[in-house]
Amino acid sequence: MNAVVRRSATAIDAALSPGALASGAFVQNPEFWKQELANDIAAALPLQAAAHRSDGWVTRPAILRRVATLMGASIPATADRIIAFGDAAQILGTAVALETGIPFCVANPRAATEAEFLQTGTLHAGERVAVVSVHLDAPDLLESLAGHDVVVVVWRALISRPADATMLAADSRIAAEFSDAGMVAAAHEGGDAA
Amino acid sequence: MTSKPSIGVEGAVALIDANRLEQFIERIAEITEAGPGVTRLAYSPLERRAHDVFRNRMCELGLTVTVDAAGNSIAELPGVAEGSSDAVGTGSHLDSVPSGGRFDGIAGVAAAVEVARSVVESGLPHRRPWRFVAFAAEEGARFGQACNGSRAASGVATSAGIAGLYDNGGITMAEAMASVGLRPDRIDTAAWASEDWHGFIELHVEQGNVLETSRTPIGIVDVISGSSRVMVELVGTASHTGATPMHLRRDALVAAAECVLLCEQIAQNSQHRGTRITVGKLDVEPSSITTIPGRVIFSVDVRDIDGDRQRTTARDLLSRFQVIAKERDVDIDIQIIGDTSPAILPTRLVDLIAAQARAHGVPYRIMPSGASHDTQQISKVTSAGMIFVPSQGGLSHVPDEWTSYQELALGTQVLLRALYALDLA
Ligand SMILES: [Zn+2]
Repeated sequence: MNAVVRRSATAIDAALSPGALASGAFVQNPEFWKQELANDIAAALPLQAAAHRSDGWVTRPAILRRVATLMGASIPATADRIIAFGDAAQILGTAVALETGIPFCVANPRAATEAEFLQTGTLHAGERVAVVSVHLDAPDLLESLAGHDVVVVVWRALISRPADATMLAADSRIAAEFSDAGMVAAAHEGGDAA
Repeated sequence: MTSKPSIGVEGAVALIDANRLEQFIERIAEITEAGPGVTRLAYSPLERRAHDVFRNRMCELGLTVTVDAAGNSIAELPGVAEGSSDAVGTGSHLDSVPSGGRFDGIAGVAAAVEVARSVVESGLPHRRPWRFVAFAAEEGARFGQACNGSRAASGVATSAGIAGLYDNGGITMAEAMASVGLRPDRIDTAAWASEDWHGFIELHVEQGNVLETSRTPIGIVDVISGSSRVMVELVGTASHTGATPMHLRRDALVAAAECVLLCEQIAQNSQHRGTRITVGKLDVEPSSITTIPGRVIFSVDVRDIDGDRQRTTARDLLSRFQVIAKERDVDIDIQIIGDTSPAILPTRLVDLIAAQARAHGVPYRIMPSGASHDTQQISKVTSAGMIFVPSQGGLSHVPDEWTSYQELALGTQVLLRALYALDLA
């Protein structure tokens, strides 16, 4: 039996990776893929775009799945546990855990008492943890995690804001998939109105 | 134009007239090849005649009409706000599939014409320019690629990119365009600039039966499906049906049948809610009662509202087709012929249209669009939304395609209110 997969020279948006046919036909160019994801997140932002509420996109599996794929790819194999916090933490933690197979917990860095710090799941001394969040709005998180005697291997946020620049520059473990400015640009002109 | 006293948007809405919508649609439906239904193919002289009707109608209303290199006709009504050049737009397409209906695309252009007329005649003041667009060559039936006019408007189309597109008669799309006076060599000049646009809303017939079965007059589209398409060729051995024992056959059609059933099975499992897989074309050779099928070519169209799932599914199908071919000892050749991502339409526009429907007690459904539309391309340039009106029996691309003019008028009223709200936003 002969098996051949070819790609027509025309009629395809510049979206598929060249040379990917033999092993993985229909693999999109990674940059294109990421830009489309940014567009879709921006499109799905609720009317109060400035509030960055995540309801618009976390409730759509077509976007949430890709966000989990994107963030899951940055979680090192050494991580024992995922910690999600902040906006839509329960959803994001679940999605990235399903994507990677790594157990997760949900933390509230603003909890008044230590007993309230963990909202879902457990966390144990000595664990290597990967933090995932929509934003980077918890500057003392690393400190309180150090108090739990865990090792933070990475902290991936989905969207950074201009105010997060110092935080991003100060710690190489911290990174964001998209910048606020990039998301706004992706939302097209007019996306800021209403 | 705006010298008459304004009676507000509801004054303009009151002028939307089902009879006028009907007249426009009937006028365009007359422009067809002979035969059942409507045949007005992409980049044919008939399509251009339909564009002429649109242009004349808009010129009569006092609008300025331009036709771009890709054949899109764009009529503009200036706004009153100083320095406001980012336009609010609406429109759809005027071409059809072979033996198609009179509403697919035309309904949205008729709505655009009716909105323009009611705005002009009521003297409704609006801040921004309003543009009314008849896109060219939306249907992929002739050249295999859909949304050609809007692809040019979105800046995706290039003269090099369209070079490989040709119809069944071997006429390239570029030749067809040139023969009706368009400029395929300058197709890049048709690209719209984002800063010239504030938003775009297309009205279209649903082409399915969700609205009819739920007795809902309006659909508001929140996502347009993408599609990944392949042609699969299976080659076995053609031989005598009587003389070849079953265990010695290499029957390409039996292998193809297994592939077709696999498509249905995958699309129906619980991980594929929202995926639609279709084998719509299947050619058997030599197509003889007494010869084992030696060669089969079939198409697979994987549509999805989830782009990753769409491609994973397509990939999965391709590898499982190869397993089937191996098991049945037939050769397989797969050609990828198309790949388009789904487009999530901005929540802002979905909410804006829904608010207009709610405010006037018009029931609506938020729904995905399974078909691709010009809006999918336009959403790359500006915030874009879509309004669906019901299709009787869910039929489309056939002569019996039908939407009641009352329902089209209701959809046009929602469209006008939404455009006005967008103008103010
Ligand atoms: Zn159409």
